[in-house]
Parts: sequence; C-alpha cells; structure tokens
Amino acid sequence: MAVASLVLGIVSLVIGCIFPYLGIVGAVAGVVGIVLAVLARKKGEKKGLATAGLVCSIIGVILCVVLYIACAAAVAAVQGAVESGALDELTEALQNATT
Amino acid sequence: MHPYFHIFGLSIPAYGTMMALALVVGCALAWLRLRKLGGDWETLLLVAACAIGLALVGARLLYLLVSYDAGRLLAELGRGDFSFLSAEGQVFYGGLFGGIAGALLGFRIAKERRWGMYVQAIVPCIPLGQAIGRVGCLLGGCCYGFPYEGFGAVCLAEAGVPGTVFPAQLVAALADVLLSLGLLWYDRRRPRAGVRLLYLYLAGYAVVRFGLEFLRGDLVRGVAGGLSTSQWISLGMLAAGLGLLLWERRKRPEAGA
Repeated sequence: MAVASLVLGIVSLVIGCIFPYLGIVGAVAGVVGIVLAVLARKKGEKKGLATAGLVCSIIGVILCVVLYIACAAAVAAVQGAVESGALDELTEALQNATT
Repeated sequence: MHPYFHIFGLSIPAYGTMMALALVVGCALAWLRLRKLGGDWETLLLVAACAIGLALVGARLLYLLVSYDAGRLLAELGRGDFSFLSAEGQVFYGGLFGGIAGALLGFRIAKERRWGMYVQAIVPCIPLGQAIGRVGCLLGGCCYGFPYEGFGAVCLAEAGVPGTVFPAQLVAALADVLLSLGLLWYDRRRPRAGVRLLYLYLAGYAVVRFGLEFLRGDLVRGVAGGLSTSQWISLGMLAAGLGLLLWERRKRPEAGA
C-alpha cells in the first residue's frame, strides 16, 4: 500500500503538471494515494515510503484543484455571453476604442 | 475581478487557488477542533480525502447532468470520446452530496465508529471553506448577481458579463460565515451535539442558498416552476434536514432541543 500510494502521488503530480485536461483524474488519483498512505501508516507498513506517498498525493491534489477546477457558472457565463452576442459587442467596442 | 495571481512570473488561477485554500483551511480548523475531542489526524485526513474526492466527482457529475444532453453524452461514450472529463465546471450541491457519501466511505475504510465526533469537528468548518470559495468566485468572475449599478457593484467584463452586477458572491460569503458562527455557537451550547450539527448545517444552508438564488444573475440557471434548480434542491435539503432533526430528537428525547 505504501508503494501504491507513492506511485499514485507521483501520477497525480505528473497529471497536475503536464496533462491539464485530466485534472479531475489527477485529483482522484491523489485522493486514492492519500487513503492508501494513511492506511499503510496506520498498519506501520514502510512508514517512510508511506509518508512520501502522502506528501506527493497531497501536493498532487492541491495542484490539480488549483490549476484545473473552474466554476461551472464562469464557463457558462462566457458561453452565454458568446451566444447572446455580448462578447461581439465588447469586441466591437474595443476595436472602436483602439482605432 | 482578478482571474490570476501573478507570482514570480507565473499566472496562477485565482479561483482554483481559493478553492485549494478553502480545503486546506477547512481541514486545518477541523483538526484543531478534533484535537480537543480526542480524534486522530490520520483518520481525519483519510475521511477528508474521501470526501473531497467524491465531492469533486459529484460536482462534475451534476454539472454534466444539467449541462449536457444525455443522448450526446452517451454518444460520446459510445465513440470512446472522454473529452467531457476535461470540461470545466461543477455544481456545489453535487459536491455536497458526493462529499457526504465520501465521508461515510472514509469512516468505513478507516473502521472508525466515532463518526459523530468527527462530524461535530468538521461540519462548522464547511461553510467557512465555502466563504473562501465564494471569494474565489468573485475573483474568477462567476456566480455573480443581477445587473446592478448601486454601491458595491462589480464589473466582470473579463468574464464577458456586460455592465456591472450585484456582488452576490460577497453576500454569499458573508452568509456562509454567519452560518458557520451559528453552528459554532450551537456547538458551545450543546457540546454533545454530534451529528445533529450536520442536520443543522443541511437545513441552514438550504435556507441560505434558497434566498441567495434570488440575487443571482448568471445565465446557467435551470428554471422550473419559477424556481431555479438549486432552489428546488434547497427545498428538498431543507425537508431532509428538518426531518433528520425531528427523527434525532425523537430518538433521544433526553437530549432536549
């Protein structure tokens, strides 16, 4: 379990850094890594590895949350602005202001 | 609106940062409360991890349910297209229900029977975390209010929102802080409240959210029968919270109000 938690922690870190579109997968991998690390520590199994796995998993989860979780309404607001033409109006206004 | 923090030449998303801060602060405060009750940090971390994991999945699932056409989603899955995983967006209620399920799973995995004690430590910290998240909403330009030009109006032009709007995010943050203070006050008066704090939170947040929905002006508001999706969910949650309080009171009449 300690080794598995370290692997999952590293996977979560890698996904957080390199594969932005899999942010939620990285966060879930990190969460499973935290669970396995805690269980390994409670059993006294390879405490050093388990602690390393715990730290990597926690950092991986935080990284994924920071970089890739966005508010549904923010995305929908932009979509709505595009659909309603508000974004076109804003673009036109900016173009007029710069010419 | 301030969608990015610029630190050492890096542009870090403000909303995500505030979400992560909310999780860290919430867990830290829960640990401080749990220490006084006699719990251990490893079990808290395990339960929190399960809750956060399933909260993220639940929030994403509910977002997909309200935003995606079911037929389209099934068609994408049939083609082996998993791009919906990278679609940005989640809904709080999906996160709340997922989080509760995750916490129960965490207690099961940890074989911890004193879950009333952990719930008592964790629950008042949840609305505080929500308040921090709402500040993230303001920075990120989401969950905004109706068109408004009076005192405190905010401009969210970078998010494509025309004109100025009511700062519903700040009102929500204040309401969440008041809810947390209310739960802490009740906890001081009834030190053995245990899981009753969760029922109070469910009922209290349902009332808060129902009222706050009238201040919202963002476009993704599923509406049915004059009420938004979140308001309907709030009504259900209020009924569940009050029902659980009544059930718990009947189970333990000697505990009082």
